[in-house]
Amino acid sequence: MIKTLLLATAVAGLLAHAAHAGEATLSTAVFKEVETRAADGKVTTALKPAGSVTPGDQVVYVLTYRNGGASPTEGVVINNPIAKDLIYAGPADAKPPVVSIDGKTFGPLASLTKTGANGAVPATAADVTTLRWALAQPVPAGGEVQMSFRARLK
Amino acid sequence: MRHLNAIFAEKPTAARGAVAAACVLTAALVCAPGVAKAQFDPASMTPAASIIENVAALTFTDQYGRQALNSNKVALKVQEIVDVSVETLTPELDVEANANDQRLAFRIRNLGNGREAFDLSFEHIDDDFDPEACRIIVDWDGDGRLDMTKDRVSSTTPVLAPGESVVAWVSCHIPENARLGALGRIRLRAFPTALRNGATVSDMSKAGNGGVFMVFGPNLRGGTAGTNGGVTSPPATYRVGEVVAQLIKSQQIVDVLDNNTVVTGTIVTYTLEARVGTGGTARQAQITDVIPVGATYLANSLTLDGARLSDAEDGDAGRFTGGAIEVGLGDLAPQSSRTVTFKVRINATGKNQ
Repeated sequence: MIKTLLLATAVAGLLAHAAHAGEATLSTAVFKEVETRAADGKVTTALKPAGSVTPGDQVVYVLTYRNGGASPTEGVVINNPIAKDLIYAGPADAKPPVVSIDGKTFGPLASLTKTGANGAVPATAADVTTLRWALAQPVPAGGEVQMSFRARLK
Repeated sequence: MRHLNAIFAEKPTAARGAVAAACVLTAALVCAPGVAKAQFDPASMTPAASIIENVAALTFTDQYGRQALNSNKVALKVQEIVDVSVETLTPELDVEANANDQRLAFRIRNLGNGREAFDLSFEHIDDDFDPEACRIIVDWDGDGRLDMTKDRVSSTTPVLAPGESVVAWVSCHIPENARLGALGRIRLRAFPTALRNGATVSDMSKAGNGGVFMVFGPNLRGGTAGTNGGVTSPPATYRVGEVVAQLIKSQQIVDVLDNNTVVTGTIVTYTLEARVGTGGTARQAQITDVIPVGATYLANSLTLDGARLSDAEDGDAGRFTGGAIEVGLGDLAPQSSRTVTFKVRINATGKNQ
């Protein structure tokens, strides 16, 4: 009987945790930037959902973090690895991530170096393997934060 | 195996003009087994039909502690860019009227990100004469040299990887009545075999590798879409002149593995045909050919018009100098030809022995 109770408590705990984890969501979506030129020559850029691409195309990834819980969250960190066939092409909004070329050391791209044949040389966008956003402010209950970046298909 | 094609496109060497007092024909050809294929930018493009996935990871702290979860996965499918270039390797060739098998060389390169074959066709460009009985020979084994035991009369290239190229020759007969100084011009056209039956949006929607959408790259987009479209080479010109002499080199490989691979120990037979035209007698003609790097001359393999010549410098017309073969042909009358053959063995070390 005691054993059964303990098991039931453990299951309840797991369920509670699972329900809680479901309160926070991170969603990712990918778009193509499509330029249209109006009759007056004005060019407007719109984001259209992307399913297929050809080499050289630029795409925009949009990440949305939503705190669906009842209390604020702190220390929110989002990591986004860059696929090997993509080249990071900069932030698509006013929240630039820090970047890494080895998945360990993060910083602005200009602060990173790599080892070339003749010693350290500045890292380039093509070297970037991971992006990271570390939110300085807590995200209130029900709050939502969006981040986006551009990438180009090799 | 298509790894030799960057280094050589067969082109007969010709001397033109007045009668030459002494005519030395040198075939400056190389055969370096294992030379890497020249790569082109398309090879660094993401291959058609690749899937590019993105998943972001989240960590945060709430009242229960540190939490971690992943985002949903989004995927992009890479479409195929199909494109091709056709380069003219023999922009001009000196020929004589009524000459057979006059070859113009071209290089067809896959500029897309998919594996594709290309249909080939040639067309005459209006000029003094139309070359006759033309056929297209594709360098099927990819070694850049014509060898009819390996290469094919074909109107299609082999399937080429992104960035890969292949040489093709258009071989024509020059009309008997072509006058001195007359020009005959042709160009070679390439079009993706996968779109042979049509190039409408509907045709292209599943024509790419793995059934992905196919889109034209810049060269094909510049052409006329459809089965009559394609990419054409710059013109290649036959010029009818008083050709004194022409030297045509070809090779034949005894394929020990029967898989078109030049391996250590392979015996290659080189044939050097000196053709003298109507331009005059070639006096004291001599053929010199350096043994290719990576190969060793096979002793006593030198022949002239089928008769064996000794390697020593003696009474007969030929000799092996240690690094080259030399055969004296004497005075060659107009419209005659003489044929020299010799054999080499491909070395293990890639060096001369």
